[in-house]
Amino acid sequence: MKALERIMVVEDDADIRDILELSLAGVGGFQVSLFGDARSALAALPENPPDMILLDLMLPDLGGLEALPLIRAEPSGAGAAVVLLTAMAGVDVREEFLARGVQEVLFKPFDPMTLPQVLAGIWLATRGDD
Amino acid sequence: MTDTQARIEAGMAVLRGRFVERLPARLDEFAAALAAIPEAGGEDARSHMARLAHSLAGAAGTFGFDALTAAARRLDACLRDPASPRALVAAGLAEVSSATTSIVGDGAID
Repeated sequence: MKALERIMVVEDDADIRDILELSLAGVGGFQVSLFGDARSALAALPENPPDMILLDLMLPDLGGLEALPLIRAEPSGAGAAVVLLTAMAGVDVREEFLARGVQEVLFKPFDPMTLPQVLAGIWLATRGDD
Repeated sequence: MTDTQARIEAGMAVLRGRFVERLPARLDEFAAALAAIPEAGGEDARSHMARLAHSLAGAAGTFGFDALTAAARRLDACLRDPASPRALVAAGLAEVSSATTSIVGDGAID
């Protein structure tokens, strides 16, 4: 099975992007590409095909769930594991989002020290049959 | 502590300081967003301000500012309830502002 190497982060909040970069590149050692909106990320997919996309739910212009079918329509995004990141609290949204086709839902706040392990676990769980 | 842990923790401290430095600018955005909300209606303006609150809640929690996270979440919930009067939104923002002031003012930057 291919190892998780390249993670595309789509997050509009600059502070959270910074901490995700530190966590995923600094702690996890992954190759990380950072985008502040979904349209820029979609445009970069063909030249920057990720293994996993960490996608914020609430983005300006094009939200995470709106971007999902467009990601899947791109050959370079069709096979990527998509993990939705949201600050929604107290709302039982995970099952709904999984039914929409994301591989997992993670909730903010997250622990930057353990996030890489969490994502590696999701990768193993979703790619176990490859 | 390993060198990697020390490097990451140093990086976290820098990012946390940067987050705190950016808080006054975030409050300015909130104030402008509130000013755009009319007494009745204003769905788009409320939605914009809710996104600001949602984003702040996520970031503040990740940096360990629990009181600010809670205040931002309450404001977010208030904005998503169409029945919330504008005065309640303003009160919610005052809570966020107070939590922010306590962070910026009490030497929370490590």
